[in-house]
Amino acid sequence: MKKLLVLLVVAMFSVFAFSAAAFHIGVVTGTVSQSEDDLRGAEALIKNYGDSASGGMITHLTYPDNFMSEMETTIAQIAGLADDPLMKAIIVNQAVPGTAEAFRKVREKRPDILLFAGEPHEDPGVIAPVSDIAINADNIARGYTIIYAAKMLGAKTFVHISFPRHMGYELLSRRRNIMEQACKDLGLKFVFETAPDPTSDVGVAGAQQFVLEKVPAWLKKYGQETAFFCTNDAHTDPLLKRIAELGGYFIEADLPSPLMGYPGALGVDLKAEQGNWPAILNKVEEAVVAKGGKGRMGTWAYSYGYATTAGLGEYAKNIIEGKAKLNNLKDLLAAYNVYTPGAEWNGSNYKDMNTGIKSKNHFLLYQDTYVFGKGYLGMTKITVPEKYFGIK
Amino acid sequence: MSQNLTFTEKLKNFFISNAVPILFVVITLLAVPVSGFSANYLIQEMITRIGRNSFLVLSLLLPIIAGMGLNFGMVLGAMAGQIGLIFITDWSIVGIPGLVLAMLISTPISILLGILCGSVLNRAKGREMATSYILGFFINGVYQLVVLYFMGGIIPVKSPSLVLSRGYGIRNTVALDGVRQVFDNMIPLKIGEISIPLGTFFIIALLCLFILWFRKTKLGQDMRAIAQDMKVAQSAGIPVDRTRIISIVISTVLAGYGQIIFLQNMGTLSTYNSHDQTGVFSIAAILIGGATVSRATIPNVFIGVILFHMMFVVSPMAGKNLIGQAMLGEYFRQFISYGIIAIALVLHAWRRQKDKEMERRSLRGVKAEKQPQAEK
Amino acid sequence: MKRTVFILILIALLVLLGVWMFVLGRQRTIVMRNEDIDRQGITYEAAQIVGISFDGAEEKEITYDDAAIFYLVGSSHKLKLRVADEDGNTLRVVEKTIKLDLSKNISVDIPELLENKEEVIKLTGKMW
Repeated sequence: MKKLLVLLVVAMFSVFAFSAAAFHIGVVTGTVSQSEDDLRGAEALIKNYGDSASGGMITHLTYPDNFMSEMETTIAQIAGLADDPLMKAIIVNQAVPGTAEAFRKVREKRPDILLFAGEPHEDPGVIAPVSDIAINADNIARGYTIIYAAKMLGAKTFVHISFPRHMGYELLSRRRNIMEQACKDLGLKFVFETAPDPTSDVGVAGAQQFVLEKVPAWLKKYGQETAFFCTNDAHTDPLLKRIAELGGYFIEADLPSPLMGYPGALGVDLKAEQGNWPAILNKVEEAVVAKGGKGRMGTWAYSYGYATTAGLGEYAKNIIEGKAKLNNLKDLLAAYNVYTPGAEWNGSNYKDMNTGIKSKNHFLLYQDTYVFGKGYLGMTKITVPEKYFGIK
Repeated sequence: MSQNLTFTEKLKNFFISNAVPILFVVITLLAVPVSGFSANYLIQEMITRIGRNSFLVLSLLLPIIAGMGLNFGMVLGAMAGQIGLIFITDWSIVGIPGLVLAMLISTPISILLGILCGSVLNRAKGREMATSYILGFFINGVYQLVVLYFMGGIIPVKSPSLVLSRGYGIRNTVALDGVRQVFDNMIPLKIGEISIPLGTFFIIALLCLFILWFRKTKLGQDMRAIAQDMKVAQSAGIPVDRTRIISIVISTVLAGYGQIIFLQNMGTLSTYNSHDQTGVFSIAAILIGGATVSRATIPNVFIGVILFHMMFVVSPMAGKNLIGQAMLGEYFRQFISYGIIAIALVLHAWRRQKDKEMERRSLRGVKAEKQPQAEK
Repeated sequence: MKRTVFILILIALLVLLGVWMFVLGRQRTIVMRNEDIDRQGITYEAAQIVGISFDGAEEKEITYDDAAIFYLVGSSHKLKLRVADEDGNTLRVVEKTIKLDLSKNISVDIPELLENKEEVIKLTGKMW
């Protein structure tokens, strides 16, 4: 009881007494169980700039795990940050449903607060007008760059593995079509292969078994110069395992990160390196090279979720301090680079397919591809031909 | 009953019959300073939430009056309300006309679902709460089937911002930009920094008046009689089954309107999940307000909404400030807010037992006084 | 019998109320495009900068080959178009009354609109 009381007093004291930072930045992410990388990005920010409760700059909150049913809580969490008079920016990553409404609430009360949405779940037409900046992974440009990278590494055939449910998602099916066109233009053979949906009755285990058994057959059928790509995270694991053993290429995953697939496929234990991305990359690289995957397997060096949380926080800080301009792609990418040393970023403005209107504050970003045992490919230097952005 | 109780007994009774609200006042008073929120923010948040949730909670009153317990079946009405909102969003009807139209669309659906729910509950007399809870899951399945497969296909819904690009099924969030907070801002009023949703309050006040009036009507009296004793009511010529169905139908229709009011304040509809928590949260609120399965009043509703949501607002920050980690703050909130629902239900059961004990005791006392010869 | 008639009348009234609400609350999405267009061999050239404002609301400025979205409720609206050159110097201001039917999505080509001499312009588009 006494302990609790002391804790209470300390907590109250820490809330009211310290306010050393000139302004605060609110960061809202998922919890470890939903999106660990996003949360680690917030922790990186706290490490650099301190927790606002103890005189630092960052106020970190999390939205509920079942954010779809508890939207009311999400809204209250985000809007509640605006109660802090020192609050100057709010970053939500991922911007789960409810974020747009929360942003509107904040705007009504505190128009001076910068509102950043990372990976919004709500429609671009809903979130972009109410936020100062919205960021998505650039799956359109990647539809071209992944094929380009495959060609650079020497692939002749490109196998796209997916299943009907995923092909029902607009962005995924659009990227597939872009890849097909890019293959045609760059002289690769495009093949669409179907693997079972892990959420169907076969389950994750069944789907992974299928991929494990099928990859050797595919390699036989299409030859060693075949690059593979899959839209599902569960398929990534067995795919990587077989490619490392038998040959073929793997450019990058659907949501690339050294943590995506590699630790499971190659049995890498990364507990000690948690949150330290260069160390994670090193350890995974060692494992890949040891298994013989040198120069054939790639990823993004830094997780996208991590970089987005941290990068947006840095960008907000730079804007508030007058060191960067809002909606300036160069300044935005510079902020990202602080947390991803060595890896370049590139991106473009989001363009609505139906109206053709370019959004000035909605950006699509992608990171340079890192191939184990070979290094960065320089994919961000490539200009993606305009026509690919028009493919539906 | 209480004519010959001593003061301490009275005090004890007061605490027993108000144990839940008192417990909550205590927890809230502890948690508010720890959370570090400003008074302005909390007052604003409470006013918003009274506007947002009271109508839903009020819809629970009629079945309680009719002795049918807490109507978990209100989720059915919530789904009907959401269907109305999906249609007006597709047709892009905005402003107050949009909400009125959504209510008009939801009404027949609610009535049908209410009749279904009422008839099922008539076959499960005495087990209404569990039955209606499970019925909610069943109708949820039907709702998902309709919204995920029929809409866009069999039922015409055309907007590309609503329909999944595969051609049928509604996207999992629907932005309600056009009707966002139009009831709240119907009569704009701002006191200092705090804006008051006077329009919504006006609607809620109308509903309160309706409930007060309804209790005095023939139908309302019938419901109370049924709540007292179904057999006696039946022999007195009251159509028990029909009256019970009517009470559920009205509750379902009101729940539909309540959900529309709730969502117009939220501004976003999460198509497959918005109704998930409606029933549980509304029921938790009314229980925390001091209502029981058999007795609930309008003040219970408002006290409950304030206490329950105050807890909701302050517990994440309080948790974060106590433990020092954001994520644990969120888990702390879940622990506290679902914990309090559990406590409310347990305390409610305990209180019912105490009530029964007291009743038995006082009954014995009355009997001893008036009919000594009847003993043995 | 009397009861049935009463219910039928009530339902009819509610349906009427619904229709009235539909007409009253219908929101039209208007895309104003500032692009060069061809109409039967005649090319209408788009202006460098056009400022658009409906019913005296704040002006939205769009450049050449750009577009802007407006949301309007009700059928009759005052439209003000301000045409400017690259440096933002106003060349002319055109005011029109726009009549809308119940269409939900309406696409307007500004160059064509500017050529239209009529004071009141009826616009129609896609119903869904």
